[in-house]
Amino acid sequence: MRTILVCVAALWLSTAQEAAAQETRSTSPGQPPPAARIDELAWLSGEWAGPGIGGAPAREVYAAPLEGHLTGHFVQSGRDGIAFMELVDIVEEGGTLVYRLKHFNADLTGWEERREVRRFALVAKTDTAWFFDGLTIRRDGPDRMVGAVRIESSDGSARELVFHYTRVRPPVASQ
Amino acid sequence: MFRSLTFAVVLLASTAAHGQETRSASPDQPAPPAKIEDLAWLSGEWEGGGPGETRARAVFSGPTGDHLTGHFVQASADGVSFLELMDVVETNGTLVFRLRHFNADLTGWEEKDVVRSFPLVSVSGDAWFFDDLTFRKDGPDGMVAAVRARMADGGTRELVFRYRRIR
Repeated sequence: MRTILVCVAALWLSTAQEAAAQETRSTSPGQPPPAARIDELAWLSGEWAGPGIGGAPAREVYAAPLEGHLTGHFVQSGRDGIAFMELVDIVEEGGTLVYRLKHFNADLTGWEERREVRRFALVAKTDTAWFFDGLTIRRDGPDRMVGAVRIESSDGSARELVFHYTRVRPPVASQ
Repeated sequence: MFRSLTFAVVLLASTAAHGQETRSASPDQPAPPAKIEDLAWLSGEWEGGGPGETRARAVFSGPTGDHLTGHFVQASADGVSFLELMDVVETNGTLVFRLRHFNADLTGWEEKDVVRSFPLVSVSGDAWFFDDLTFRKDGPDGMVAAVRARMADGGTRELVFRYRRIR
């Protein structure tokens, strides 16, 4: 019974997450990236947990900004433990921000080649949302955060994965 | 060139230990039993490093199942020197510490299938001795990490990082 309930919940979450929520934005030609500083994202530092892909637990953790870098890691659980991880590094570059990441299997072997880095340029921002190209970080109250990423399939169609996080470890009090 | 330069920075930044913080694996020694929960105290954010202008941050999340995942950032006066992705995993009743290194631009030091792996050698009080890599609880808000690094001349040297908990 419990299993069925969990499955139903997972299905519901999964459906909800893959809805066309329009959390993400894409870059358009000729559009200059907005000015932004790394300190704007200092609120991200700390640990966040919530339902991730398919409703399975996801976790992301960012350190307080250091030398223009906001560095973190992401862990997505699956049916048999950890599905994959990411090393995340947001940096201030040329007066704007770039979100960079690499993916890893649970055994720490990489998805990308050694020199290959996924980069997402900042496209737009509001007081509470930072829209990188196909990847959004949105502050949703003091202890909630929405992460969204656009996934493009091989047939050309795109869908959004949305992560609803709750803060589970507070930011550093004295910075 | 860049890597050896980075290494030189690390060397300058770190305290050369006169003590013996690290232990090496010996062929006949079985790995001691240990659980991932034993290292749950590592969860959180740690700030520290060596003397001078360098700073280091280590952040661990979870544990998530059998894993305790973290990342490490080493900065000097010139900015971030390098990063690490770390993962401690409970396997066969003992622990293995695994890590990978990255430049400040996130390009890797190791090829994508190469993972540095440090099996647990012994546990003593508040210290977990992985093979040439130690994590030691130093009071309620202190942590010492030590690594035995191989030098260009073939010798080895202990690099010791002292941290305090900031989260």
